[in-house]
Amino acid sequence: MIRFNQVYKRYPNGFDALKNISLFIPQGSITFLTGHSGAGKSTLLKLMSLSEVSTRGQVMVNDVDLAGLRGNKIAKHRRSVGCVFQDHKLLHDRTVQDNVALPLIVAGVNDRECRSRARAALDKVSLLDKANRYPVSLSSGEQQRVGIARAVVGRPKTLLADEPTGNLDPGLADEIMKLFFMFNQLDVTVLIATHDTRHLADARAGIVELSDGQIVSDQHP
Amino acid sequence: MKVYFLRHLQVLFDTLGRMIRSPLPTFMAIMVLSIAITLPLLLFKIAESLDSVETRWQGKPQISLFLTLSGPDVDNRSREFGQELLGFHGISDIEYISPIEALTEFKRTSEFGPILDRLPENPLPPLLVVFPNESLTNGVVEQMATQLSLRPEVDTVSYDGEWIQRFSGIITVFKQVLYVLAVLMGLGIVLIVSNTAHLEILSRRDEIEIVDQIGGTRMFIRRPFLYFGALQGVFGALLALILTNASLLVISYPVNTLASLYETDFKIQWVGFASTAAVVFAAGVLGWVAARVTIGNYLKRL
Repeated sequence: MIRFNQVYKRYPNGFDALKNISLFIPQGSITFLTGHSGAGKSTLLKLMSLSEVSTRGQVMVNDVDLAGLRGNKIAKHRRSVGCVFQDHKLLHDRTVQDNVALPLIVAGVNDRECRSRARAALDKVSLLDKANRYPVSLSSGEQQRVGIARAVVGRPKTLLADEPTGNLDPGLADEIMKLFFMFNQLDVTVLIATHDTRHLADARAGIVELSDGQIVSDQHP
Repeated sequence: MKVYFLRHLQVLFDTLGRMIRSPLPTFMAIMVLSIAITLPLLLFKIAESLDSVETRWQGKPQISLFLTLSGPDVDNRSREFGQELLGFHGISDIEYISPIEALTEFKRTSEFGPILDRLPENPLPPLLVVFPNESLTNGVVEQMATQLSLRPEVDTVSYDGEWIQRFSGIITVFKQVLYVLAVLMGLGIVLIVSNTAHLEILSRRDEIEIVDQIGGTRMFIRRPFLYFGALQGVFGALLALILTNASLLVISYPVNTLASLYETDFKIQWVGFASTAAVVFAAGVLGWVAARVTIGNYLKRL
């Protein structure tokens, strides 16, 4: 469950990225966050992962009010939210399997479980055969699938994706979207910020459209 | 708990691996650190060696009274004279060295043993070593020596306190300089490790941000950098100890030769186990602190 209650975000340079955002996304739903460049999509996701904090208003993710989180509680919250980035953000000096296992290592999971869960996540994104390769040897689509495997390996309740298909051709983009729908069927709340209008027609997904930091439409199936 | 220690070990070996994989920058940084540690450590060992000499000389003045007394009961009369002097104001102790004892010692420390054996009688006079109170100034002790020389029982007075005090003063100054250098060394270690840790942070900036994003605690993010700083300090100290002992080895021969000319048993002291442990521990802790401050500042801006 994600809830925004009259949320504002102003950056230090005075730019108002979000203005009076109120939003409710139910647990287990999949929602596309759309809008033009600079509309506030990424800022909305950053508030949920606590990469940024709201200037005003209340943000709740997985029934947790993010305003009260400090120190290790922020880290714990981030572990409960899987994030997928447009530029993948993989560690190029570690193997694919080690990249996927990283959230588990951070969470203090033992080596054997790290290995088995990382391999299971890679299997879900059809990259098990490339577990021992380094990210640089993978295609952009494969790297994004590694990013998704890393995001879901910790079994998060919520999955946030910021332009996950932004750098991919349509065929690969469709494959990536299929993965998100697959994880959504496991009761994971999925929120995807995207420019790609081809996927907005899917009847299973809600659509929240932003413009100049405000919600201009909010549709749910 | 087992996983926690295992992760620490993994980070330790990962950090060591990273250092080994970039040997030149690692060696350069450790070399700079070791030079920063070697200079004060070398001076410390020299000061320690000088200190032992000063301790042997007790660091306090003494007056040697060569007596005119002779005859079969010379020992008794000399001791009586010593007891009389002990009652004087300003004298804390008296030591009597009989002519026989003096001759034995002279034979032991000189090469004239066979010649001395041929002498018809012992030429050495009885000796009283007078220890004035430590609170007395050099001028007062000099006056005391002059007064004692006027006594008929006294033939010659030898007072060598002034140069011992000067020597002691020089060592004190030397030690003060050493303390300043030790503080500067500590500061140097902190700055050098800070700089290399900063470079390490910049080269691993992406990794830090990713680990932060996926829920790594600040402690988890800091850990490899803390090991990096501590290891640099430890390796820098170990190399410094090798350099220091090598330097002491180089200077020990001419110093020992010089010392033998002055008939002292002055010896250069090597860096022992306790000093090694202390220096390695201190450098490791300073490296850790420097890395902690640097990564802490970086994480504040994250």
